[in-house]
Amino acid sequence: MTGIVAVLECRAVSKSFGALLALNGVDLALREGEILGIIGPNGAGKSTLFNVIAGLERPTSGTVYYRGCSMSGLPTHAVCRMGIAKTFQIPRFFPRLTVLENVLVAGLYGKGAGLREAQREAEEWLNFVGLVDKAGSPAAKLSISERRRLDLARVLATGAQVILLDENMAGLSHNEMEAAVSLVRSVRDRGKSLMVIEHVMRAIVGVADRVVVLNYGEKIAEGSPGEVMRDPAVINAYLGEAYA
Amino acid sequence: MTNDSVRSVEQLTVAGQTILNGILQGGVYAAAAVGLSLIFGVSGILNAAHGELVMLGAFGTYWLFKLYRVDPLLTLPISFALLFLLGYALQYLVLNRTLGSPLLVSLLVTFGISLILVNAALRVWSADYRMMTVPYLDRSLTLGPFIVPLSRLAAFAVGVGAVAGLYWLLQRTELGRMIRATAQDREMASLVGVNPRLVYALAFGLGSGISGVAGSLVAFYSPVEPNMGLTYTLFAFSVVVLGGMGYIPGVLWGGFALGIAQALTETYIETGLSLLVVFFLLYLVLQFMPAGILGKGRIE
Amino acid sequence: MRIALVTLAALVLLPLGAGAYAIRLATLIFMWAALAGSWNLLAGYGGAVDLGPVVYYGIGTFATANLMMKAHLPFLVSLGLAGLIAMAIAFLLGTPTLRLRGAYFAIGTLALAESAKQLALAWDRLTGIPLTGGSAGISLPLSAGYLPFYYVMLTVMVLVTATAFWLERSKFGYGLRAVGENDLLAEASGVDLHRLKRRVYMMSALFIAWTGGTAGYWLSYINATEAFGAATTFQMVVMALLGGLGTPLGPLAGAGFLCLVSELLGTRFVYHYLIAIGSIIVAVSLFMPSGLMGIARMAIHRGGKRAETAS
Repeated sequence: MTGIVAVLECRAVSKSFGALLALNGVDLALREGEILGIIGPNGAGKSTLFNVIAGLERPTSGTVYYRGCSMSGLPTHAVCRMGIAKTFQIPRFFPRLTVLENVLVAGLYGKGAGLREAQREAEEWLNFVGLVDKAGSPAAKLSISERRRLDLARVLATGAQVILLDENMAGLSHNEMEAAVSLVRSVRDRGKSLMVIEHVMRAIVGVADRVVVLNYGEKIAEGSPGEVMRDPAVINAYLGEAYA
Repeated sequence: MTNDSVRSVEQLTVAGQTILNGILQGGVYAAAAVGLSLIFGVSGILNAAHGELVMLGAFGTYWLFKLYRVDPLLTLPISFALLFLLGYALQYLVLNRTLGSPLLVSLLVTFGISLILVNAALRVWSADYRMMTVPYLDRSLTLGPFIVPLSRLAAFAVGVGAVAGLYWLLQRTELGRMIRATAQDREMASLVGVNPRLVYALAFGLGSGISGVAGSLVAFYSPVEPNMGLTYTLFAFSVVVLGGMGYIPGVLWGGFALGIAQALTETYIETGLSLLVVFFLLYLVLQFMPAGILGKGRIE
Repeated sequence: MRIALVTLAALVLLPLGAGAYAIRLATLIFMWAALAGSWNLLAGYGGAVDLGPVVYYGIGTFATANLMMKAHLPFLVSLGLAGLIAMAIAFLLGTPTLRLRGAYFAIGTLALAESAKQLALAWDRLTGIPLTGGSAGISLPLSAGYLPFYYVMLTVMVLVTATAFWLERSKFGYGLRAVGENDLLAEASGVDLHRLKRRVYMMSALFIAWTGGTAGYWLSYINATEAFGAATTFQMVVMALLGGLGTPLGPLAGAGFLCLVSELLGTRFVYHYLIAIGSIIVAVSLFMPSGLMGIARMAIHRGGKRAETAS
């Protein structure tokens, strides 16, 4: 590290499922207030990386550090309370709780707030993602793009400082995408650091400060979006898929 | 020979006989459990009425023998066919309605079905224990110091054969390929023209038919009664967990492990505690080896 | 709130105006409502289907009886202590058991109950400490009247129901319901699901043990086969399901309904009754997952609408 403090760091993180090596010695650092894009072809290990960082899966070897503290062996809920939370590629929610209650749970437990405070903040976050008018309806009734925003509101309500977005903009129309990109920026403006998996290249280039490219579980490139796009290894691995 | 060495030979014989009994019993447990594993693996339903299917198979054989003097070995295909039809109908008419609901729903539905089956059986056949005696199965083989009752040997052979047969069917036939494909990816299977509801019903029928056969085998050597099902549900579940959830050949090893553990308990600790010991074993496996003793099962 | 207080007052005063038969029937309904309600706490809110709650019913029964007869403690003191014992055992058993998920938990607890029964039956012979009386069971001293049981069962039922209402609106309840809806997501949102589930498991063990202890003394004869018998579990499940899982008043409705039905059918049709219970479980799970309370809500909703259009 060159003197800049990383809020999150992965050192030599590997994860295997039986014979399949999903992550192979991945090193990366997320700086305070940064938006870091994670890209790579299907099956590159992006979601596995997020699961490991958020404590949903244990790395086979290697360590994740949050502000210099090792997160090894911490249960999922403890990782969340420490300040790392992720959205899900297929957004998850508590179907029979109301939209507000979905976010409320995250405030109560992730942040450890009391009922009144969590209630107020849940409303704020719903307002922030533009779901406040749906607060009282059951989460199961939301559309896919609304579920993505609910997932984001829930993650924000946990009070996490590091936010991992797993394809939170997938399948959005052009206009929705614009709104989503500015939403991600305003999350950063609230002092959060973000890692973003996105399949849509346009979205990543527009929003990320820096990009890490994974292929077959290994990091093959890292740099500004412009640099990475010109990297021949990346073009081969990632874009090759499209032009093959 | 000195007294001491006579005693130690005797002790060894008892231990050997105990383990042999356990293995013989284990073969039947494997057959009684493989259906549970198949059904869970294919449609994700954990059938709480599983033991009742075993019970029905046992009664089928008992009554066919008692009322119509049908040779017990000949009742096996009948048992299979009847239970296949019942299982097929249960899945097609009832359980297919639970597809896509949480596990809780199918569990509760099969739990209700088990209550219906047990109490219908109690109503019709009373809670009496019934035992059949088949002269030619009543003999025993003597292998050196060990005694092997023919009824147990037959049950073991058929039980292991049934597990092997099912495995062959799944691996080598068109039907098996269809079932495995549906188990892996229901949507893909329906895209290539397989009707998953039909496959689920077939899998339930197969699993239920084999459980019926296992019940018939149990009737060879032990009494039959309507309440026997619960024990077999618990045993089948233990066997499947021991062998690894969703890994079909694992039931053999799970069955042997369960049979031996039980036999050892009965010889050395106390007959009435067999379930407690099994349960303890199950716990250890669930806590420390969730993919089964061979490590090949699926972890939920 | 006012309705609840008026109902409660009426129930407290009921013995003044009702005969022995009505009191007995009411006590029975309270007992089942308390049991079904306790089951509902874990299953209805926490989403964990416990098929072995009778473990705590049996423990409560035998602990209360032994404390009364061996330690010569008064009934209520014995009952209180039996509840604590049940909670302690629930802590020990719950810690590993609650790590099992979904169907694993259901079958695991079913096996737990069956082995508890085996252990209770063999206990006296194995340990040499007579507690359960083996398969013969034990007789308790005849109790003084039926009114104390009425009030104890009423109290337990009220406590269970109050707990359920508390779960509807408290931090603990939100966490528990989140776990019941999607345990992985709850955990990823910061909920320590094992601790939450263990706490509610212990609460329900406490209430179930109190109910069991009271029922044992009421009947003045207990044996392990029945006290740990799966039939009790089945009734708890069906009453909670029928009334409406995850609603505070559902188990009360389910218990009241089924107790009255079985009172009408009498004990002559025990198999028919259990077949009916099985069919109800199947039908309710498939066709009306929200139970009697769901139907009631729908009726009230419609009634409300009709009233609106009329005015």
